[in-house]
Amino acid sequence: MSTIGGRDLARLYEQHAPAALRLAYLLTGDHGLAEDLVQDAFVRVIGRFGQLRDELGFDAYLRRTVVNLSCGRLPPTRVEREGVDERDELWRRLGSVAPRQRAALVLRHYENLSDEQAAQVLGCSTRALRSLTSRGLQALGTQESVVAR
Amino acid sequence: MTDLETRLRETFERQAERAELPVVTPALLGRARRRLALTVVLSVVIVLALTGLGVWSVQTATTEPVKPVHRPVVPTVAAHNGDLAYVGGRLDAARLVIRHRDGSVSTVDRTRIEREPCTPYAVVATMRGTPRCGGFGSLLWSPDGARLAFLFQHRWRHAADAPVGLYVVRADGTGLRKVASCPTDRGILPCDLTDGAGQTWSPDSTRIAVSGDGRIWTASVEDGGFRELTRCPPCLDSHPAWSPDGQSIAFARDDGVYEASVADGSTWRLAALRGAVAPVWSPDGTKIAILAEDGVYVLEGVEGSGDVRRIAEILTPQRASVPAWSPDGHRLAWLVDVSSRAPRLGLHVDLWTTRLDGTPPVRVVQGPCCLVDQQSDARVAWSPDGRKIAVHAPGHTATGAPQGVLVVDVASGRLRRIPGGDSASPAWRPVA
Repeated sequence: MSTIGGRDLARLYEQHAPAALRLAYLLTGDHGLAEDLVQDAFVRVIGRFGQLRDELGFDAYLRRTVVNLSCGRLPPTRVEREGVDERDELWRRLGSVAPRQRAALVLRHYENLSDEQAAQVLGCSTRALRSLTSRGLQALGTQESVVAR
Repeated sequence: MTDLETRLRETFERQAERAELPVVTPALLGRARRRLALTVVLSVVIVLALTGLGVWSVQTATTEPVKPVHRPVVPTVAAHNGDLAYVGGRLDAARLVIRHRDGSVSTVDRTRIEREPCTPYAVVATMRGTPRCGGFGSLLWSPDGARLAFLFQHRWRHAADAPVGLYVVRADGTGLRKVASCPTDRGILPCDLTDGAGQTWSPDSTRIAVSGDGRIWTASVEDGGFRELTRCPPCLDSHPAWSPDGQSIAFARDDGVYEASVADGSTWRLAALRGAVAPVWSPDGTKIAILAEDGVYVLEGVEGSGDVRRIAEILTPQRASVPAWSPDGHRLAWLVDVSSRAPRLGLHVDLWTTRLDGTPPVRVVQGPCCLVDQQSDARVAWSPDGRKIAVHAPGHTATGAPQGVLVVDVASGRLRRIPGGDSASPAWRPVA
């Protein structure tokens, strides 16, 4: 079994990949892309694992890498339609929210990170994070009102 | 939390359930392993590169300045025995004079160095192109007082072409020997004959450094021959001053004062001063006095802390002489040509001293006691006990008599003229 610094590679993956995959899926709305993202992120983090002081940092590092990769790769309008519950209109509308706004929403309302923690993951200021969140919600709300009419 | 946010949270949780954990495929682990291997390889390459860079840096460090660490030297405030060397005689009959305390005199006549007959000065002055007699200059006693070094400019028609040699002689006038001929490769003036500027002894009295041909040279007194210490083709290096600990030589370059390691000739700048000339080490080697275009400066912390402060302002067009440290290193003395301040009184200089303790400089002697010729360079030299200052102010008094060498009592400011005609280059002989 492969080990890195005495740590079991497969064990690390099993331990951290599920959460990362859920995050990636919420960020992309695409299963295949989410898996690719997680694998890519995992490989990247493993490559730098020696620089991490302890395993506790692995999770945060992996999350940050997933978010950064998703923002860099995801086309803003890409939405996976197949298998989406028709009742979940909100999920569908998330597909047209800008990646960083979507990431801000996911980090705040799914990962339950504070503004400061979410800002750190996105590499922006807290003020910018609030702005992203606000604009993301506004975009969803606007679409909702348009649909309602 | 708004209704929208609540619904969004529920949507996220519901959708997250749809995400399934992919199987840990061999492909994934293979990618991770490759990535890890690449990282390791890159790390090794970086380490090797850095190691190589370090080795390269060490190898190339031979061209980088290796600055010596100067430690304070205990000044040797030796009592002098009263011997004073100077250049005496008329221009067409110059001789080196060593005046002993008991009144006896030892001399080095020009004819001991060059045998050609000397054209009388009256003829030289009226007939252009007539070869002039050779002359002495830049007298400097070795630190142990055993030998006097001087430069001799041989019989010449044009000053720029005149060969110059470095000589040494014992205090009793015996043991005259030529150490080396000054270089003229670049066609710039050979050794600088200016008093107090042209040469410097190593503290152990075994070597002499001179400025010549725009460079600094060193020579072993015993072995002779000059060895190039500095080379900076567009630069003009001058005024070498050997550090009291013997490790380096400070000198003037076009844009400031520099220091050169005696061991390998590497150079670095100590202070950027426009028109800086004549760095002079304090006896303990912790400070350097510098004559610059607009004043007299003192550089403290020659290790690199480099605090340069001006202790006296020289107003244009006044000129100042190279400052001289008292033997105990507590005072500096220099002359200021103040002719422009009182033109009716003629050309004259003031003698100034300062204690370097923050008190303002004191004018010990005020002209017109020290009339000088306009083109001459006045010099000062402390007696080894620090009580007197010999002033060389070449020129003539108001009555037309040769100025000669004046000795000033620092405490009282009283003057005493040393007879010897048109004498120059006073140099007290220290006693080891």
